[in-house]
Amino acid sequence: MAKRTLTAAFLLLGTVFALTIPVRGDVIVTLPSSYDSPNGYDFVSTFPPSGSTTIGTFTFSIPNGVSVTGITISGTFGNPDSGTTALSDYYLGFSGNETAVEVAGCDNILDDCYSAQNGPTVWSYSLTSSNLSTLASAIASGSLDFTYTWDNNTQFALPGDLQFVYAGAPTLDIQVTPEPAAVLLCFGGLAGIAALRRFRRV
Amino acid sequence: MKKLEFALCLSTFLFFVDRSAAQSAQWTATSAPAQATIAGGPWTLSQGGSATSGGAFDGPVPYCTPGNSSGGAALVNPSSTVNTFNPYYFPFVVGSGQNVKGYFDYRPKNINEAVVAATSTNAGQSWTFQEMVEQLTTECPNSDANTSNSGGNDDGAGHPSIISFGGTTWLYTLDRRSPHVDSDGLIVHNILPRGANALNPLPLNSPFMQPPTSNIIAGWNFNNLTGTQLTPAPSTGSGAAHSLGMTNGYTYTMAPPNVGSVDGSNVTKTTLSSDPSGTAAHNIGPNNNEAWRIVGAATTSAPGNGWNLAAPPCTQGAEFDVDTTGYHYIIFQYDWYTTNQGVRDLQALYTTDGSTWTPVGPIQVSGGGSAFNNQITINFHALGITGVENNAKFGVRLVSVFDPDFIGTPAYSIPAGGNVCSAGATGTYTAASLANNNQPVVYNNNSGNWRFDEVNVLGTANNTNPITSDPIVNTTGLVNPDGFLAVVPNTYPIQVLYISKTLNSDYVPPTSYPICPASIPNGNFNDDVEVVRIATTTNFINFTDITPFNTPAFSNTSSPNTPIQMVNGLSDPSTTSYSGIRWVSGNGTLIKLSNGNWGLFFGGGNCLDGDSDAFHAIMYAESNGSDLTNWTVINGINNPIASIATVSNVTDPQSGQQVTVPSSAPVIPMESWFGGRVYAPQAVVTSPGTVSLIFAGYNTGFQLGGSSRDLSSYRNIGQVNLSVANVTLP
Repeated sequence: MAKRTLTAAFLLLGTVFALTIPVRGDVIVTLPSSYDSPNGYDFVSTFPPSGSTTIGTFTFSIPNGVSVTGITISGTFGNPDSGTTALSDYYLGFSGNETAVEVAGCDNILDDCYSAQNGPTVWSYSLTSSNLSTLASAIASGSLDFTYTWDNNTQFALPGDLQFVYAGAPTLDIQVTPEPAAVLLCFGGLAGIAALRRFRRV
Repeated sequence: MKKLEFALCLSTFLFFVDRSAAQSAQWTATSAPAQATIAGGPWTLSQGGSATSGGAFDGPVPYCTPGNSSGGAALVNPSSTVNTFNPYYFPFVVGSGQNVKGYFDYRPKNINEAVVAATSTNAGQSWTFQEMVEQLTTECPNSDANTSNSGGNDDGAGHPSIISFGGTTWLYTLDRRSPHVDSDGLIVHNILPRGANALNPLPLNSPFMQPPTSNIIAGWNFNNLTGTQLTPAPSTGSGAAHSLGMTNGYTYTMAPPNVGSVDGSNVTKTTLSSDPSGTAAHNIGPNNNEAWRIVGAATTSAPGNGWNLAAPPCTQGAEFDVDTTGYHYIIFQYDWYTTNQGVRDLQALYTTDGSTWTPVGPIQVSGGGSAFNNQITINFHALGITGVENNAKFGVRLVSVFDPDFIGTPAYSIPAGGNVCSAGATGTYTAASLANNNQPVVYNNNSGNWRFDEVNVLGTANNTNPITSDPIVNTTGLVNPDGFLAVVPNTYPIQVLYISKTLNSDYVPPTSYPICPASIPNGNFNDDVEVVRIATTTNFINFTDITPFNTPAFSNTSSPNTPIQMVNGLSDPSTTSYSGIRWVSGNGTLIKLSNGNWGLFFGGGNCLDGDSDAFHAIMYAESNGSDLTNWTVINGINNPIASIATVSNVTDPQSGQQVTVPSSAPVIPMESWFGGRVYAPQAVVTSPGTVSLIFAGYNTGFQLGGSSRDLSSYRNIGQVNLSVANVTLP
């Protein structure tokens, strides 16, 4: 009897543990860098620029029975062609709201992204729970757009100046964990196996 | 007692904290230096054979294919062919970690010179060729040393360096041609790198090659003229020249009233032009000769100096008209001199119909007054301006314009759709000599003038030249630049440390330094004054020198040294000591350190070498905090990062003592492939505590002159790993 109680207690604890400390797995998606233009830069605009341009789309598949607990996106300002880039901001979004979540910004001409001489400069951003909520439908559909805008570079650029955006291929790291129902199902199965083994012994 | 212990403990802690903050970087080699390799690219030395046989002309794999007396075309190695990385030098490496990109000066001696880009995925140990551009010649060598080919076959565009800013990339090279070297501005190219076309859109062939059979259609050296010259005749060919705007009715001073000027332009002796036919004087010739001075006559009835703030832009200066009928590939070159009070900014205009004048090229900015900007070049064909060819009405005006750098009233502006000559342009003329704060000051309206020398219009009578989109644009404001030492990251206006080299000037006023004795290895002498200076730019072409005045350390009692513009502490252009640093070379590395200082790797040399190329040792210095004008050398000539072969038991010219240099072992053990020269250190940060140092070296045998010279191992690119203590790296 004591043994049975102990087994039940372990199963219960395991379930609670699984629900509170997620079992994590990562889905890593790299956006192809095929957006490099024939002229060497990614995008060019005459100052003052306007609007946004979607560079590409991350597509991924969230396995059944897991939920997304976090997303980290990383990339570089500048790339092997140029160590620096124009003042610009990068976003994750979706059709209808391409600039939903800003994930990186090269905002000052004295920042490494703009004026360091040994770039490219690495950037990384982990989405907040609020960001995840904003992007929930796009994440669920397995598609996130990567978009950039030019900053209004009043610090350096003059009307008519060309603004060159250089960026390295960004990487999306999606952290997932099994959903509670799946966990319960899993542990229910385990409990069933344990019970079956015990029943056979008896 | 416990209080006492606590106090002792605290003071000890603070002591060490303080020492830690003040400590400079300490470098240690963690690998043996090794010659790098390059996959692909042009011919390399090892393909020519050994030190005693073979070579570029008739080696196992000659420079040209098929080579030897058959000539042919220059070899291009496939990427599968990996060779020792020579003859390349003056690396300029960008990036951090293992993936870096390098720009190199490819310079097989007496054969060619070009800029090469390559990449490395192991921090510079091995490289993959990307692209070669700006080569000086397509000639094949006619002997291994190529000594009987046309002269200057390797004096092209060298010492490449890069500024990357906001997604724009600018390539700078030294114009090594005579008489351009160390007097002209650096050549500037705006490039758009794309993958293997890392130097896009620059062409393989340098514009120096054009026109291949250039002729002087008309030239003015003014040497056979005297006195007033309102329309000086050309010294070569046919053409016409006259001054502009010197006869006028402008007001010069209000009290007493001083109104009007008549043209008094004349010929006067002026030093340091590029004119090779003048009289040598004071070791600064052969150029103390006649130049054409544009100025008012300052008569009693018209007392004005000629130049006036009220003159509309583009109306004062000089005009040269040359019939180019029958000629193509037109090039206009000129030496431009401003006195200290002379107007600071010049714009060139051209005409194809004799009446409409169009600006061409950037605004030229005086180097600071009482100095020539030599051989400013307008390559019309390279600029795509072919209307000046075969044209009887071709002309060029060199005229004063408002200063875009002037801060004050009236503010500089150009009307929309207009240019610097437009009637709606606002601003003012400023003087060549800057104020103490290095800002331009308004022209004084009563003194100063311009002078011109070596004004030449060149062209070729044949029409076979290849078209190029590679105009020669020179920096302005850098004083006798020999290349960049380092670009200061995260600055705007962008700051650069650069090498200023004034040829053959050490023992003449204003410096009058003690001269070096004959060098130890080969008896050479050198009289160049070379210092590190600082300049800023906002447009990558026009620079403003902001170097403070400092006094070199050496001073004899009869003639104390005059302060000159140079950063303090890196070098002493007056020292004759074999332990001192008299010369500094370009292509060093600047690193921001955790102790708040800048760390600087640089090449330097002294009287032991008899050569201002500054290749005796790779050294290391740190700035005083963020102040880039004050430096302390940590690893100098006697305890360097790397050194050429040890020189033992020689008498120091300054101390009279027997010395061995270096007196302490270098951080990097010497190897024969850099035993003759070592310089251009590029430190790539590979971790917070390590760098990969990429540098250039010559073997000891190269330093031997004449037929003893070993041409099998020079301009080697090498690599070594260093770790650092006391600081962390960015």
